[in-house]
Amino acid sequence: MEMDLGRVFDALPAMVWTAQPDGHFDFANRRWSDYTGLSLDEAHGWEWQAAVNPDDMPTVLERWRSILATGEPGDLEARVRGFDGQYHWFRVQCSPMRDDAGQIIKWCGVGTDVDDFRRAKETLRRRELDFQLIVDSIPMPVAVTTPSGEVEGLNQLTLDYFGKTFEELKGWKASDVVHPDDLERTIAAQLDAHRKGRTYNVESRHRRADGVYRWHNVLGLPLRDPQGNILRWFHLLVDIDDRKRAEDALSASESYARSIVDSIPGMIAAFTPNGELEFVNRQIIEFFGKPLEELKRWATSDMTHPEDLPRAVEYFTRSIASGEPFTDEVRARRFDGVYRWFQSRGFPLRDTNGRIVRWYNLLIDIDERKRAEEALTARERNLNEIINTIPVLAWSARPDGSTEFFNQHYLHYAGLSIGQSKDWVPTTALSDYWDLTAAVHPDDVDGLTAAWEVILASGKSGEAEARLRRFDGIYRWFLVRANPLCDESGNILKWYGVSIDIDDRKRAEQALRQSERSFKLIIDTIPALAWSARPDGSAEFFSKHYLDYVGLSAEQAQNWGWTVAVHPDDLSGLAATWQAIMTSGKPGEAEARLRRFDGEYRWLLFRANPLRDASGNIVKWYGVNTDIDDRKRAETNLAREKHLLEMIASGSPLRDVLSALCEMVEEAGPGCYCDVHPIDWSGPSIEYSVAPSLPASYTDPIAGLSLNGDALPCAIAVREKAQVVAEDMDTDPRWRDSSVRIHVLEHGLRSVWSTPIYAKNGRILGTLCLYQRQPASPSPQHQSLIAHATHLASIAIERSRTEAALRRSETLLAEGQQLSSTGSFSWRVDTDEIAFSEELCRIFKFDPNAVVTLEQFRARVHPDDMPSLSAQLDRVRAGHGYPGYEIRLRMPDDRVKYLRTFGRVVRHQDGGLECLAAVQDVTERRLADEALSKARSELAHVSRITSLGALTASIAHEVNQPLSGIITNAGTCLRMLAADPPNMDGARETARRTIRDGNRAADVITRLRALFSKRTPSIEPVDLNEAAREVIDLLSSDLQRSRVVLRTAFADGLPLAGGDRVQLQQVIMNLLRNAADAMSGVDDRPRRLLMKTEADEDNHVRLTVQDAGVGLTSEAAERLFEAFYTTKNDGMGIGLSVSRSIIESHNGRLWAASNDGPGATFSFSIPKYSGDEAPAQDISAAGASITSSVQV
Amino acid sequence: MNIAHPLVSVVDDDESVRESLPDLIKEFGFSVRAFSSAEEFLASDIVDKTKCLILDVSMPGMTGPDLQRELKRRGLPIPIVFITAHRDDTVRPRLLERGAVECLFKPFSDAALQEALSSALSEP
Repeated sequence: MEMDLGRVFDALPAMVWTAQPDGHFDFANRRWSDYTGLSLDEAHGWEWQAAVNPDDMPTVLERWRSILATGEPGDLEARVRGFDGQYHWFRVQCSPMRDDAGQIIKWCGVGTDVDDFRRAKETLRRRELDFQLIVDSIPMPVAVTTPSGEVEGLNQLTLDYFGKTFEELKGWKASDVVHPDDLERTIAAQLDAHRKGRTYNVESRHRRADGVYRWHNVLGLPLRDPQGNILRWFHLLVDIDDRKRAEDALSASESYARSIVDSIPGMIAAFTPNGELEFVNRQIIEFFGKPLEELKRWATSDMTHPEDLPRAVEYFTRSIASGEPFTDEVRARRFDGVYRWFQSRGFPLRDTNGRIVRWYNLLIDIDERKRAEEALTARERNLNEIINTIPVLAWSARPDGSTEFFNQHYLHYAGLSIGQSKDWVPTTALSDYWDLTAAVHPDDVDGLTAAWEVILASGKSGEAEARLRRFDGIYRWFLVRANPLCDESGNILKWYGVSIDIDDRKRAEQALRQSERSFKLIIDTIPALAWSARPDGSAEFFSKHYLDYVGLSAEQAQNWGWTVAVHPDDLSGLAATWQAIMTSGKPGEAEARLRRFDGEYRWLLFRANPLRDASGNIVKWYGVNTDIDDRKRAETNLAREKHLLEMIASGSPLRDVLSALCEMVEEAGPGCYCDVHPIDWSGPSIEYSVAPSLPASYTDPIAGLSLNGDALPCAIAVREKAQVVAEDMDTDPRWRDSSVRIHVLEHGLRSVWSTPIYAKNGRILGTLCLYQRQPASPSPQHQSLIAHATHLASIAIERSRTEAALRRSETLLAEGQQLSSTGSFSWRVDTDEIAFSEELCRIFKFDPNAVVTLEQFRARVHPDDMPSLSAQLDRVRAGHGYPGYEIRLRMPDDRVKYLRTFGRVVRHQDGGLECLAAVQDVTERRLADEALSKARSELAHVSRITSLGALTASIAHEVNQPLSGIITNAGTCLRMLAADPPNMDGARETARRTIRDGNRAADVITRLRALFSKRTPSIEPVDLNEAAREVIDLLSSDLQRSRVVLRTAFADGLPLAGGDRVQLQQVIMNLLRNAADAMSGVDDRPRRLLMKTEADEDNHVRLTVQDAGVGLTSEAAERLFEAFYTTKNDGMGIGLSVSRSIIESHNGRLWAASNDGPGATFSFSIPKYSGDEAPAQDISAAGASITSSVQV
Repeated sequence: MNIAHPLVSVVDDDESVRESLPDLIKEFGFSVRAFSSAEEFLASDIVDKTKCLILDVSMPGMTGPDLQRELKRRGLPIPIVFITAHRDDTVRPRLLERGAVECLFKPFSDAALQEALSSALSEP
């Protein structure tokens, strides 16, 4: 056939050549050699280059290689040398020739002399005519069409073959020139080629003029311009009918085998080892409605569904290359254009050497099944759409568990959509991407997988929980629930599942769990025994502490099991209380002993609280048990301590108290023996030993032991003021050679701990010793006990000693009260309770053992003093304090007692007032005072008498004043009467005054008479010191009132003076009074007064009074002793003059002098008593003397 | 001041004297004023108008002689007739010596007073 074609080409009036796919020229037609003058051999391979202008070679080669590389039709232009050496421009068009598989098997080229084109465009038309001639001259039917497929020209041979005109053949598509069976295919091939710009090759039967169809191979080639645009198409009709017939004959030789194959109710095709279709059975031919030749091009045709073709080709070529069988499912196009599904299975047939000699391909129609599947898929799609609209995460899986489908919500939730497409994604594709664990929290993947496997294995519905990651990265909890879909026979067809968002619930649960966990944690952490019970009282729960405490398991303790731990003695009471609490429905508590895991019973406080539901029903009881054993013990200790303190307070003997203390210590510290030693510091030594649990043989030798020396632990403790611990007396080196060691060991004691007992002020009162019968050192509990006990011992001892001191002090006080006649009382103002001291009862003559009432008190008070007393009491009640006052009592025997009280009012914290007062019986002193007072008044009276001489002058003055008025008035009266006319009114007035002044004078006389009614003085020996003391005593209260500080300096052995004692005392009194008065205005210095006596020269005795008063001016000193001269506002000015007259009447001297410092000094000096003094001068004489001495 | 009724002042702490004496002096034809103390007199506006002073010797506060000294110090030579209830003979000569016109012991007669007054007012 190639040879035939070569001849055709040779006949072509154009340079035609062919080349192998690699570009090697393997053929050139005669036109080529005719033009170039080169032999055909010289065109083979690449030798054609010799005919090409060297200048164009690079372009030509590049272009040619480019065309080869692309495998697409192309063209190029080059100058080709003619046999005459002339170069002509040629346009060379190249096209690949492809086999059925599309592989390039050959390149075809046509070289066209375009020299003329280039030279003159006007020759184009002519050249086209030439072209027509060329076409016409081609010795085979050729058709030329426009790019759109319109028939443009046909050569004569064509017209001859078909026996038709050009016009008739133009409509060939609608005529029978092409066999009806082939027409469609031919047209399709043409159109396809036209569309793609490629050559085509189609075999079809063409009707010859005589009506016989002959097979032709229609070869279509595009004719392109230099730019590559298709100008027109050549369609060569190569008669292949003979070959076809030969092929048919060949086929007939295989008909037997084929008939067998054809009888197989499947479709079978056989391929050569390199994949070329060799034969097909009848079923294939019938199915496809195509001849074998067409079927051979299956790989480039639409016989296989376009969607399946690439895969089919791939599988096929892969198997051909590898020799491995293949299986595929493809849609094949039936003759009627309908695609049906086939299972395509290919397998090799090998010869004895194992070489593949043939491939068989079996096509089994599975269309029904496929359609069923597709229908199912469609239904599923429908279902999926429904599922997609359900607002839950839904999915499905195959029976093997591989996921198949996720609904849109699932995808949206997890952000698992493919790209941004919102289109529904084929389920099959999805399952390739994810399984059920896609987007599941890494921590939950294993769990979910395991659960899923369990569900799969069970074949039953199941569920699991897992966190699913949302598109925003947040994980939420989902309940994944799977349900199997089974067929009638129970086989699982599919799993359907939904994932339900339970995150909120989960969180709530988690929170609840957390809270429960923390609650449990708290319950288990709190060192309390917590429990809960059902409404019927049976226990439900016990905290870990509870169970640990009683050493029971939760099961053992449940219901009423816990009661085994309750102390038998307490069980009935506890049960009753618990029943009562439950009946009341209110919180309650009870106390009972509970056996601890170690067997020890300890006191616990059971507290229970009801938990009620909304309607108020008790749903549960919660309880906590508190270990109150320590508290109980403390209470016991407290009770004991209280007892001890009561003993102390009630003044029990110290020994008894300490003994009780020891018992308390021994009870609290099992195994201990206690011994207390008060210390007698006068030794110092141990006063005695109190140890109720130790024999007297132990304690007796201790009493009175000296603390000096190292032997006794107590002594060391006292001296070092620190606890001394001898863990084991037997081995302790400190007592190795001590008798103490023997004494202790002899009594079976080993350890001795001695602790000082301190008083509040830090002084050590004694020691407290603890012994044990085995070597030991004090534990912290022991130390605490010791500290406690020493404290109590301290209180007891101190209290005892204080009481002793108090008793002494009370005795002293009572004695003092009695001695000073002073009692005391307290008066609770608000309650009128009165407490009298013993002495006060004695003063009041009350029964000391009876309670004194205010009424009794009032009854004793002198009636005259009642108003004053009431006023005082009112003052106190009003909160004005206690002023101190004097009051008289009238005793039952009418005796009067004078009392003086001092006191104060105390306001208590409760606001109540209490008046505390001391009451002194001053009756005796008061009587003495009264006697003194009487004496003083008598003395004063006497002094008036004795001063009479001096007073005469003043008496005369007093008398002369009214006398003067009388006389004057009388004179005046007379003159008024004598006047003319007489002044009667004036006379009457003056007469009246006369009478009045006369009466005044008479009064003066009356007073004078009274003055003269006393005795006269006498001279006697006078102890001036004693006389002065008496005066001081008389005046002491006056002096104190005047705040005068009197100092006396009386000379011892002072000679007696001679004189009138009373007169001299009058002088002394006068001097003292003057001195006190002189200092009455002195506030810037002490009012010091010095009185001294001394023997004076010339057998005189002198008395001096020195004051610190205002002092004397020189003028005052000069006139001091004048009668009626006074520096005082209230004085008559006769005192000093009288004094001087008295002293002078004693032949003595009275004078005054200024001090160097403040004040003045007055002195008198009189002769001492000799026994022969003249009688004292008459006072009138003395008065005369005084008068005469007064200077004016 | 009427020349026919020279002013006589009486200074005495005794009320009866202050009552009776002015009446008598008026009877003599003088104008008269009475004061209960030397201080009161000194404080009055008639010290320099007084032609004669009848003055008690003993008075609380400033005594008669004190006032006499004070008037002398002030350069007021008022004739003074002392009167006193103390019949002390030593007193009169001393008072006269110090410039008193007269010293009358209470009680004195109206004639003695009139004579003393005349004597005082007749002095230059």
